[in-house]
Amino acid sequence: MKTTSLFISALLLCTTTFLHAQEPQQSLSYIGISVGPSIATGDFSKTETGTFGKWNNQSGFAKTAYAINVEGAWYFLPQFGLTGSVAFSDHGSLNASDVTKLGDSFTDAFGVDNSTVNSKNRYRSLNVMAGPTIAIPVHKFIFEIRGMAGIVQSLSTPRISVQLEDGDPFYQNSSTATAFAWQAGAGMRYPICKKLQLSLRADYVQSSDLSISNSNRVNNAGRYVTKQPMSWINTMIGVAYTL
Amino acid sequence: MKLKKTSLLLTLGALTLLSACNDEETHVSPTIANEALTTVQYKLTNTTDPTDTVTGQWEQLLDNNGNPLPVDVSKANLNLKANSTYSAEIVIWDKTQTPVFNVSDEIKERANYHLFFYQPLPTDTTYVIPAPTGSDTYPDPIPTLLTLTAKLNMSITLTDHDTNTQQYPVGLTTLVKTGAASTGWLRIVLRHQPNVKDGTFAPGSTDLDAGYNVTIK
Repeated sequence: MKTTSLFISALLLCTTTFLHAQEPQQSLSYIGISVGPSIATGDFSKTETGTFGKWNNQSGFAKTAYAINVEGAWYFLPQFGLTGSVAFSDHGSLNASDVTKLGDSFTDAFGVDNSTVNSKNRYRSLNVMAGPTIAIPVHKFIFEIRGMAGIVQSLSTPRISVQLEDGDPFYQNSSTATAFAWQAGAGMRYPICKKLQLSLRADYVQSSDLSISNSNRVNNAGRYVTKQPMSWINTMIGVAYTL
Repeated sequence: MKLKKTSLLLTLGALTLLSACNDEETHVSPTIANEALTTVQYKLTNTTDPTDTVTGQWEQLLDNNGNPLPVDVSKANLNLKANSTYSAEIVIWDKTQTPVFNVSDEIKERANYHLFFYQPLPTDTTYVIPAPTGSDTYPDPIPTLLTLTAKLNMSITLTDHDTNTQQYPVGLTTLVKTGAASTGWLRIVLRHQPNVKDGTFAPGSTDLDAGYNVTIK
């Protein structure tokens, strides 16, 4: 909530000075905050469980949710600099359709009369990235391209419990593991007052496999997730404060 | 600018609502269909004489309503040579399906939670299948006329294994060793042990309980 309050305050401040804005600030270095939809992609977003003997252990059932990004860039050359970001990403939780698919798959996989699947928790992660950036000023606009690498620190992933008939349940645990990640993207900034710029950007983020632990899994059968690849696209709108 | 501010506030409100959504879902998924294990063939081949083959068949078909008919034990006989070794396999059919369905192949695919138990009777050693509990120990066609002084001189070793991290036997293939001439029965039980298979009889439920008359001479 602190970040959103800061965001709103900055916008309000900017509107009061907008009419008095001068020529765009030529300094390219900035710090900023942005928010927007975060769209899960690839295996991370898939909802297929697979078929008997060919279970899909990569599908993440992740959703389009949102990301909040605090970022900045320091241009030590006219158009070339270093950029960094700290982002909180949310990619939702499993819905009714997802747990139905999982339940059907476990019923089939273990040949039981029924299985009960419960899922709770969301995909939430904190991503810390840094890398080079290039800025291309065109009139009032500043177009940027950047590539970054860093880590994804998972804050939670869905915890899935599976009970076969009336047996003891087994679990796919929520993960708080860390994984390597990289991202690449492009965006633009536009001055809306003396020190503030409106920013729009899109970034593709991909992590290495996130480690997932399981509990009480006695026999190898059915979908068995031990690693979860993650990827998503952030489409962000925000404000940048030029330095 | 006012429109922009309103849009941003709406966006932030939507994000807050998203965060507050219920993150928990539960669903119970029933099975669609199960096979019927109507026919059990136990096929043995003498390891020193491949022409010496023996097949015993235990069968219990279903009526049109799916109810079990009386067990057919007319072919549930195993006549083996004394002091011999046989390699054996169990083949299970579902004759309620057209064409007839080979359930053994299904069990092989699901070996990680299936386990066969073979119990020669009478025996003077520890029971593979838990100790007698009345008629439960002697499924058709085995009569409950156990003579404790007698013994069926037969031992069975399971030769196949599953692919669990901790591997356990399955029992679709076996090695049968016979001793001196004797008579008795062979009880075969298939245990279905979803996520509880640990090499013992107790966990899970019974998918199949069949018996054969055995003559060793």
